[in-house]
Amino acid sequence: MSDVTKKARRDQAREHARELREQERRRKVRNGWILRGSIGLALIAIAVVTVLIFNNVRQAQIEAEAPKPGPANMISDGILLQGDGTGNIVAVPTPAIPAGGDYTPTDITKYPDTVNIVTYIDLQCPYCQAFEQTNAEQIGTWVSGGNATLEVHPISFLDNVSQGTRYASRAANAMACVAQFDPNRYFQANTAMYANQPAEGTAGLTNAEIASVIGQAGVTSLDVVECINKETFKQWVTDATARTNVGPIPNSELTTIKGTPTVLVNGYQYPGAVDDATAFSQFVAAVASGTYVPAE
Amino acid sequence: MGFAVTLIVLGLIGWIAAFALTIEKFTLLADPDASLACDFSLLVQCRANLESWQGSLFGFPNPILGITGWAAVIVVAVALLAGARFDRWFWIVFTLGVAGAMALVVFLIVTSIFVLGTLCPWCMVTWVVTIPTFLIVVLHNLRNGTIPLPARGRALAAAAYSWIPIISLGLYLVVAVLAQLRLDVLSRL
Repeated sequence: MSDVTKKARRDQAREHARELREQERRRKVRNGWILRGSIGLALIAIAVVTVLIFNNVRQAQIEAEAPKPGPANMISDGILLQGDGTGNIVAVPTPAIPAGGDYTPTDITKYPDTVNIVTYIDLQCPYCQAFEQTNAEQIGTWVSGGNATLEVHPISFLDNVSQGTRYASRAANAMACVAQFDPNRYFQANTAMYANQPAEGTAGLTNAEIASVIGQAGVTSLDVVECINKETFKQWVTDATARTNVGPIPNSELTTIKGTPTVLVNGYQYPGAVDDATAFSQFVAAVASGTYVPAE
Repeated sequence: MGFAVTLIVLGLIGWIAAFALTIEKFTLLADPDASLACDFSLLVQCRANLESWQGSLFGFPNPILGITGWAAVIVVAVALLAGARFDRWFWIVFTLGVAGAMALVVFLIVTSIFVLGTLCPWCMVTWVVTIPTFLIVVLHNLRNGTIPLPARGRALAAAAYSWIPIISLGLYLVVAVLAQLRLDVLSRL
């Protein structure tokens, strides 16, 4: 009797242990699949994130490389300034160079009654500063008096002398911003930029400092500040500079711009000293009267 | 048991894909201008794959290899279900065959994504079944010692065997990410 009970108890215990083992086995299998499922989901998440990151990078690249229009009022790659008849200097409005498009030279035959001065300048270049500070005042007088037009081409040759901050290009971009948003103050802004020109080999002016300099010349539009900060016309600066390297230079005999400043008066390049106001005014007078004979 | 049934399922899918590709190839041979059922777009098409030299790597269309190879897989797996036992040399030859299929598929994946710039539907079905087939056969023969390995290696193979779905998923995702990065699939569908 007692033997039977013992055996039954033993069997019961065995059965119980078997059940426990079975439960444990099932738990392990279940946990195993939960683990695999989680890792599978994690792998999918990693793949999705990888694709998203690469897509964003690619999108940004496409946007950065997409052609953008140039600045308004600079369809010739320069801004054409003239007198408004009441003693002010104003810009001749033009559309912008379309995205991916080429420049359209100024039709100089439309300005037969004025001396037409064209400058190719780099805002980092000390010789340009010397020319500007020597001659800007008298050029300004001629233009505002209706005797001359001035077409300014800001280009960027000297990015390599500003400790990697690319001051020349950022400054040219800033002038393009002024041309687009406040063109009638271009002349004053240009003068202010040269008055505050950083020395070569320094880090140049920051974008905020450029905005402040231009602001002192009366250009206070927030659009200009944003345009300077975003370097909106970075691509145009590069393209316009490249075009002067490839040539030809419109309305002149020049094939390319070899240095800054390059100053053209009715197509003749000014050969004199950049810091000699008398020489320049005599040159302009000679060209205007048709008595100038270029040296061979 | 699970081993054999899985192989039969994978083998059937692979065989159907190879058969479909062979039929498309016949259609193309009969009329080079025929519109193929598997051509959906510039991206999703099998014409470019079938017409490429890589599509007939050994001088005849690759899907012929698929039709014969997958039939062998199915026959071996069905024989196992019926209680067949194979010698070691048989398993080694079988594993080599499956490894060759895997090598061919890797080459074709790279070709499709990086050279032809296409995603061919039936080809992708082939990729999807070849990857786990390779893993199952190789790991199975490693874990049971048919391919000799030290005890630790065998234990590792046994552990990896239970992870085959996840390893396959990981490999699918690698291919998917490569395809997306190279072909920008998502924005072209």
